[in-house]
Amino acid sequence: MPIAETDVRWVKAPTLGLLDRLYLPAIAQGLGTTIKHIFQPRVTQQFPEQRPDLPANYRGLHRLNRDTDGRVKCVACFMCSTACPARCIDIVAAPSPWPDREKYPEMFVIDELRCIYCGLCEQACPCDAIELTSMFDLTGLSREEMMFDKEKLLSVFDQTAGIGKDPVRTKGGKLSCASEPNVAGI
Amino acid sequence: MAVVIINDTPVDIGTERLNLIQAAAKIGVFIPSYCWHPALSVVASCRMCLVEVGEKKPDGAIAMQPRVVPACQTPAKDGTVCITNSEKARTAEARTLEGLLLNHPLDCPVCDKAGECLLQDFSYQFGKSSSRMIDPKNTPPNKPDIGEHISLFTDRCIMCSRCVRFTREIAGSSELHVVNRGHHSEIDVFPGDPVNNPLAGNVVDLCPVGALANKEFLYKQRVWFLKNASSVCAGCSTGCSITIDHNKDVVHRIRPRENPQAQGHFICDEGRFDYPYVNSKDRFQQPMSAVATGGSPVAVQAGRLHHDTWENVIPTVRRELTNAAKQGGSEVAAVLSPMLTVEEAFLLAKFIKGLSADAKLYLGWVPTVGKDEQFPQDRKGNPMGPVKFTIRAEKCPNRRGVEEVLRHFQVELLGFDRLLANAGKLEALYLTAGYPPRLGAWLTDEQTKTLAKIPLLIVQDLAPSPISEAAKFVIPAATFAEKDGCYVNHANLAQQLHWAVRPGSMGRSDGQVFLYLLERRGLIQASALRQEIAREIPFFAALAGDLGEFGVKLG
Repeated sequence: MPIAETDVRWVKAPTLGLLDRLYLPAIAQGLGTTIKHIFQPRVTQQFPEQRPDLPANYRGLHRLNRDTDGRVKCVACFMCSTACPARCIDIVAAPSPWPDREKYPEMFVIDELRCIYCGLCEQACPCDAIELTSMFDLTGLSREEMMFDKEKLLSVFDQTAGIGKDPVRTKGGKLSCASEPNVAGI
Repeated sequence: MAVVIINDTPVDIGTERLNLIQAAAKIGVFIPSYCWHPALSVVASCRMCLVEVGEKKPDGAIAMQPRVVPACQTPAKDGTVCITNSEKARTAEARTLEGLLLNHPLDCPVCDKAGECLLQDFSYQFGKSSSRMIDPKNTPPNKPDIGEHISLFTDRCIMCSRCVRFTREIAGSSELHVVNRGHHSEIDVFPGDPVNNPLAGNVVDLCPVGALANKEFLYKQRVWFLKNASSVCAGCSTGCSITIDHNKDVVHRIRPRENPQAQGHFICDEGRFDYPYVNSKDRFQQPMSAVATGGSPVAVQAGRLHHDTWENVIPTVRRELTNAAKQGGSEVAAVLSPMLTVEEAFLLAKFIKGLSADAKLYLGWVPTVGKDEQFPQDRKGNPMGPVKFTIRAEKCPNRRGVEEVLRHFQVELLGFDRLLANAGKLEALYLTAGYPPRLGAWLTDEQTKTLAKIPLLIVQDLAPSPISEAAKFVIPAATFAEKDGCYVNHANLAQQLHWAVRPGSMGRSDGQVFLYLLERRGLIQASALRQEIAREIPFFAALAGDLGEFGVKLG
């Protein structure tokens, strides 16, 4: 449908005065800004030599947490893959080999290229098994390399757990035996 | 004529014998219940359906009973007053739920029932979100070996006893029992006597919570990922209505769909667990031919079967059959398997009779295993009491439908034994099979040799077999889960199948192949074909209309 003539508002470019046409005041103003910044503290970071100090709730690469016994904490409830808007989490569940829980993920793959890093998986997880770390500079040479499987996601946990920049835990609570390793079932 | 008053609304229930749950359902008032099931006896043990009940006296005065009573156990009679939405009734529901949840673990994230669990639904709808229980919950050990296909998560059980009543009243074999008392009651079997009766899988559907689990489905999928297709079981001639639960072209589960005209509420384990062949990778994925059809990408040895494309195979098959029919119509024959739908049988018969009026049509092998099994039956296998479920000996879904199609196209109904007797004279044979592998090899070596001598042998089957090795063309067949159409059961009930999964990227449904052969355009449309069949064959006249959820009786 064409736009009605009454809905169109024509705007004229403002006419420049004598000072505006000289440009000299504008140049002086710009130089003033530049000179002011010479004396201000520097904010530019020299990446990659200088690493950014990211907040703890930054949403970067995922990790799969381990429980106190070093086993994968995930109970394969599929809440993350249900919540995932990008459909990038693929889980195959199986009866767990341990007596204190019934189900565990035999396979857990996140397609990090498909992921939109929204953090809904972290929010959906009833046992704080999946968390987003502050690792952001993720690179790979092939698509296959960017499909992070269970071992790779657990190794992210091993790398990030000790560095004191743990992600902010979603509120835990007694939701599964895996989230409370000292209580055998509830 | 009886009028029941449900929440101030009078409901005329006529002469039906209903309880208050059923009477309320007539006007869309839902009364929650766990232990009550229309096919089982009433025990009123879960107390979920507590309602206020009273009576309207002839003078118009209403006298309410002082206590709430279970609706499932209260017969609806003229003048019965039932109130479900009062404070008293609502509180009774919430209190009952709190009691049921005292010992129920909150392991919904790992429970297979989550998403279709009545305890979840009712807690959300009628219960409260927190528990006042401060003591540790009972955690009786799980019983993973309670049956071959069934596992019991004992702590999740709410003691509705539906499963116990099912094994006693429908299956008859009474394996399941309630042991111990009070809060320590558990469902159990006698040692060494697991629930392995032929209907055992139904206890999983009956279980309103996640206590009884289907081991074949356990942890395979969360139920909210599943898509459903209503279909008909192809296991025997009872033709049970089923729901196929599938996701991403994989069949994950088969559940009974209630159909009072076909089988009632249940299905047998044979039908329930015989689906893995649908997902099997050993099935034919694309057509094969033993002649150079021109389009094959590999150099082909004469006489050796190789993968081919539909674009090559279909015209070649059509041409070769037409040539064979020109030389002598009576030397061309087709075998119509009772695994075909009515629509498919009609299309194939039309194609073969279109080649030559003298071409012969035979009814395929009708598998029969043992005798009809009737339930309930006692531990020795003797039927007892009125029959509530029958597993038929005839292990194919559509013998009646194919027979009627054959009777329309040729006067004499020729059986499979007649084909074997006449095989020596045949020049060309289109053999459809599609039997599930559970039935085993369906041709003896001798029969295979007889049929292998036919020069132009076209086999349409699911998986490689000696007869497909001998064929000149092999066309992949489709299973019941991949078909649109209808099956006619032993009692002439025509029921509709809806396809659930696709027959592989290179596969085609049987009906589509026959459409190609007939040079008809477009994709197969079962309802349009049924209209055509109804016009041509008087027996199938009822197929012209909508078959509905439960199917229509023919003849």
